[in-house]
Amino acid sequence: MINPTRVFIDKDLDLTPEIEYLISKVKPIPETVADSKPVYDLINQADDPVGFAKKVLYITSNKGALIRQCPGTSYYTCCDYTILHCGTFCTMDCAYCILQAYFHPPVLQYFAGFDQYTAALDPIFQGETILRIGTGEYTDSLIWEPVSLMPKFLVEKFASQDRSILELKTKTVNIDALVDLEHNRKTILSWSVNTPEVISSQERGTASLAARLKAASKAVSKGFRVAFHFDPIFLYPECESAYERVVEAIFNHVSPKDVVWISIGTFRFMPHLKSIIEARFPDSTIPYGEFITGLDNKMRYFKPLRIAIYQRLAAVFRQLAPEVAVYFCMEDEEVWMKTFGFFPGKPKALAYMLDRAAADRCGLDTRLL
Amino acid sequence: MTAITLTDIPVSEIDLADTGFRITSPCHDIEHLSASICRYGIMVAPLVLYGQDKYIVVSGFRRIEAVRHAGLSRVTCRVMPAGDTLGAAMAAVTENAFSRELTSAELIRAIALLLRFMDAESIAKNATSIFNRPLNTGYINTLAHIHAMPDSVLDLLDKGKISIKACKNLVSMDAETQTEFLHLFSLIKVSSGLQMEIITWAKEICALEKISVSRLIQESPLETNESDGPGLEGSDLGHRDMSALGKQFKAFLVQRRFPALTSAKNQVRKQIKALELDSGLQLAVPENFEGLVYTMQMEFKTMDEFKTRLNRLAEIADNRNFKSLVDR
Repeated sequence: MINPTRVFIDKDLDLTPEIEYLISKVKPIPETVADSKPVYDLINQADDPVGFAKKVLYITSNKGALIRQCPGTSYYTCCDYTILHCGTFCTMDCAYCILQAYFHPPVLQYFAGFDQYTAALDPIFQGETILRIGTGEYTDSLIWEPVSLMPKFLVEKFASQDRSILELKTKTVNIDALVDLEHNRKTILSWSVNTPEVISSQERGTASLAARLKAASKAVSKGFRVAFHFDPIFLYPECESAYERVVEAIFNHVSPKDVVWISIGTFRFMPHLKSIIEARFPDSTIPYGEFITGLDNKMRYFKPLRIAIYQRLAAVFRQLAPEVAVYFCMEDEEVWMKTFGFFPGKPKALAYMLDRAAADRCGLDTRLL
Repeated sequence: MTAITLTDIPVSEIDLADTGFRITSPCHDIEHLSASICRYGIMVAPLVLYGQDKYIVVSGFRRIEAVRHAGLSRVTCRVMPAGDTLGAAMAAVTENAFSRELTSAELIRAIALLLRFMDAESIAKNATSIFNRPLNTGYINTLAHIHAMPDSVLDLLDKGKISIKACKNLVSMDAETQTEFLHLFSLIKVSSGLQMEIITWAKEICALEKISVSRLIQESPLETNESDGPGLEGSDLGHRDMSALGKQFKAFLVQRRFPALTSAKNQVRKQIKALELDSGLQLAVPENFEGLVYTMQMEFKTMDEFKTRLNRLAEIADNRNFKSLVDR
């Protein structure tokens, strides 16, 4: 929930209805700043900048690229996702969150400017390529829904075309402002899921698994397509059956035909995230798995352990939802082969697989495949 | 400047039990110094502070112990006037710091001594003139925290069995865990780098298994060795024995912290050994089994050797063990 104790706004920003709406929804009167420096300085002086930054909202515009390619690495297979960079950081507090280490310091930024978004998206909507575009890479897509018109704007914007889909990825249940919109199946509401044990111990301030699945069910009842992300998966005693139960719970709430894709990926992290987790979540043992240094220099579970949990999950997916596209986020040929028996090794092969799923489920122009 | 007088005083009036100004470690062997004093006298007079009926040693504990050991009844000392405790503290540190580099334990004792009279910032500001080296406030506070740890930490520092870096790692732990780790390092002798790894792995195993460090030690080869004999603590194990125990303990921790990886590595080691490769052939598996690329390195000096090893490689290609190794 966005509930800042201080709000800053760039002095150059015009008070558009978009910004007036946002300001009306947050309590503190915005303090005008010439640039980001006072905001960064304020956050950096806190004992726990990461925790403190969750209470400081900075309304600004995106001075860099609004549309970005997902920063995959060369060795592990990437899905060629496209990021719509509409905000940064998050108000929820997950122990494993990479944003704690990714930004120096993290700042809860809202990038305003519907005109700018229109200018960036319209060429894509007229292009010759299917794009899967998400806002959930550097922030949770729907923490903004209660205070901002952005999610509504994007859903309606994507509804008017058939060449790209918007994925709004979340751990919240903030869909009330969206479910009655004309979405034309071009918005996928997706949930990051985990076992109830992990959610209660490692994900402060997020919705419960049951609440997320109930929201997914509601979204489907309103014609939305949905997706799920088992990422990050944690290995702990009895985790295999716990994750299997999550899969079963998903398909007790939604039909496979409404699920566009499901991603799976075990916990991986930049090495310096470990000390941040130890400092901010002293009771958490998630950095103490059997990790090795991966070929992208991130810490990863020892490969046979990853493959073992993936194989268990793949078996359940095959049984309950054989027609749903299940894919890995950043895994290699050996893992793909031993889990699914195939490897989308050619350039863009995984992208094609997911574009195909999006086209089938969301009614995209299949001539572009 | 403090007025110091050179005075011949009775040894019996010097209170050696008052170690309030002592920054050096207790000395166990003063025979040589005692003999030297008997023969040549004291080269530098010890520094004492006049107290109530007694003299308190500021600098020169070993010399006075040696004098007493030699059976001398009087000793010439530099005497500071009663009440100048700040001056005495400064003198206790500077006398040592400007004659040689302080050991880690001495530095910690010196910081603790000075913190009785001034704050960390003042010490940092004057560090070069007191310690003959710069010290920043953060480091001074860290050393103070180490001093607040159980007493055995200074003994282990004196013996070189624990490093300042390792101590810094222990500072944030609770007193019981600190004591358990200090007990552990009293049993083994390993490098500073290995101390850090041992602390990290042991801490993580204990967190994962919800056990104490002492329980972990009980389940380790250290406890096995302890139960075999009269107990390691306080025993006079040689440096090599303690190093060997350290290595055993490390192997125990690695196996327990990374069981699947250790098992896989052991398995591969056996498989490679079973291949009976010639000395000129070396097989390397992907690091941590993460990548897919194996490396076979061949060395040769002559064409005959090249052909022999090439034939051996061809044989290995049909070897079932090799196939199972690569087709993991």
